Amino acid sequence: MVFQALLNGLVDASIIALAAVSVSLIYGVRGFANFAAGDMMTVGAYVTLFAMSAFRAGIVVGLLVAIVFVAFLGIAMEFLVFSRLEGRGPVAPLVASIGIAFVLQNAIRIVFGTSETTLGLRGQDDWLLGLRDPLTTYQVTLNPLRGLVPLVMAAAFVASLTVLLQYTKLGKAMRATADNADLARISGIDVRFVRYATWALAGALSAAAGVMLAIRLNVLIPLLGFDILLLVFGAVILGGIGSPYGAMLGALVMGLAQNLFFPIATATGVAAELAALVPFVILILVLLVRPQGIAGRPLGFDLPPLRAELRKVLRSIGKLVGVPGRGGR
Amino acid sequence: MADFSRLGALVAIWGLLALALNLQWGHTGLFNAGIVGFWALGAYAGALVTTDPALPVSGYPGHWGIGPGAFPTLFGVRTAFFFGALLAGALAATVAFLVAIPALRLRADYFAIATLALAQVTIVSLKNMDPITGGDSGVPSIPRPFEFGSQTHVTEFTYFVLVAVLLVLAYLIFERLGRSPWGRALRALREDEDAAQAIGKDTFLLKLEAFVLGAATIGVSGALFAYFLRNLGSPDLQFPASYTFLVFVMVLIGGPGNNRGVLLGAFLILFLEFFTIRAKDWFALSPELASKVFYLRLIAIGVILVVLVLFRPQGIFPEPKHATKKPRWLWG
Repeated sequence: MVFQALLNGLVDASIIALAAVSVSLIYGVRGFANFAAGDMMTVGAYVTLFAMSAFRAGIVVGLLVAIVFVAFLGIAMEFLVFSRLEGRGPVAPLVASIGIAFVLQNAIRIVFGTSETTLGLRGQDDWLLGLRDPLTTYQVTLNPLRGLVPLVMAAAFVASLTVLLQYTKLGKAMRATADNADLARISGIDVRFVRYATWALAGALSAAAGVMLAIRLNVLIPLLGFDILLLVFGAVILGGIGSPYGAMLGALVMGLAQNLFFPIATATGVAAELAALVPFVILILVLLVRPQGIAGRPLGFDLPPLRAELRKVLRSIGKLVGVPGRGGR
Repeated sequence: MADFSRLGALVAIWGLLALALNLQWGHTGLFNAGIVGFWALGAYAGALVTTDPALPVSGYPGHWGIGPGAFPTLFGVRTAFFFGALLAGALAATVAFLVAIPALRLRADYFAIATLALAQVTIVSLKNMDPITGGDSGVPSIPRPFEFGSQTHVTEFTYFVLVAVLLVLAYLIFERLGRSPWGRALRALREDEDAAQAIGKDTFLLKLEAFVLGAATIGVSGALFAYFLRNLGSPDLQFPASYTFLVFVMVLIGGPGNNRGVLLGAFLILFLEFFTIRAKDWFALSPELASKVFYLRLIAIGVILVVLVLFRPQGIFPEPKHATKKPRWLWG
């Protein structure tokens, strides 16, 4: 039971990690929380569905079409909206991304309808359908299609991302821009190009995450990505915002925590519905105790100690009810 | 007629939300993305105080409510509703106070995500605390403060008048607060927190006060919304996160920092909703087309949000420059 939960958690974590890395890259290079990431995932899943029926193709072609489409969607978002919000702080682009999320979500509802559907696999996917029989060893079951495929996919993406970020010129330019855009610019890096490249990469990761989520849940709804957006943000913050590797670690914690809650719930008699709360409780605790995340650096945060503020509140309450304080202010 | 009364009551209830967010975000710069959580908290508090715990509805598990019988009737008015709204405000304010002490230390975008997560936790908890709140089935048959039996249009109209009076009252209070030295200090810390601190303002306490006051208003609005709906937990009321963003759109359209503007924003957004829902009757649209119009409205809201942020972040009515005007009591 516990091992099964661990395995399920790992698979969930791999999907969350794909989306979390996307959000983290945008946060690092563009400096704001992208609330449209969840709906970019949904768009990816629906475009796959569309491509599979339009081209009578298999899921691999569908996934590739979706990755290209959402990458261009990201570039278009940067071109039309976010590049024009330069220097307006982190909140203006955040609000704009909420607006884009509204547009994407409801455009899907209009084009594809609101009813539930699935990524129906077709004849070309026989090799995948062959993977439908669950693998069982040591009382642990893994459905190859719904479990192994997302896991392998996430591993492949993470590996290529690592190579990109660590060893290529573009990756180094991205890291430099995330660290300090002005310094990167005077060092001769084309920051504008780096931003578009980051959006393309984030779009590709979101699309992959969306398709994997649709495969994993075997369901496709207009709220597919939006529903896990908070989980993704939780992973990003937990790992330290703007740090892609931290985001992967955060995703692992989120996925495991949510799945490990089930055996704990059955053992203690807590309602299993409350599992949905676990990631948020972790998120809130992390924000309160260590807002810079596990891997994040405390740089750029102005955090007065909690105890001093508690004392201040208590003192003002004391003033209200007339308790004499020690030596005024 | 009853339709327009309902629209008016909704504008007043959402107008309270817009005023509260305008205090928190427009004046103080606190990005409260958890409006819907405080709202749901207020709605449940109001509903539980005024509704009988064991309703004669088959299959209803019952809740921990108090019921209207426990409160006296003064001059023919059942005071349970007053206490319900009061408790709703107090509960939301308490939760806001406890959350704000640690959360206000966070930067704007982290604060947004923290409050968003808090709202999610609040709503999932409310829906799963079966013995206390009635769980998924919600609270049915919530009474209105004034009921006129089969004359629904009278019931709707009196309720509209009641919430409209409350909205005007709230508007006057918020307008007066905004013009006070306290309101000026809020705007000062929004523009530059370090500078406000340097001239001796306790910015943490100011932010705490604005956040708690706003949350209390949201809680009261929630109770009024519960009385308005008469039923919590129906499938069309899941307190989605998009409600929070709708309030942001209202504030952005009207103009952050301008109380009259945000009320106009609330009216415009709700009228747009009213129009798109009614459009299918007026123009005899097919159900398929009607649902497309409904979602087109949400796309339009998203586009409006982006366009406003890009080209007119000050909204229709820019923030008034009333620092130099001498504040008068009530109207200025």
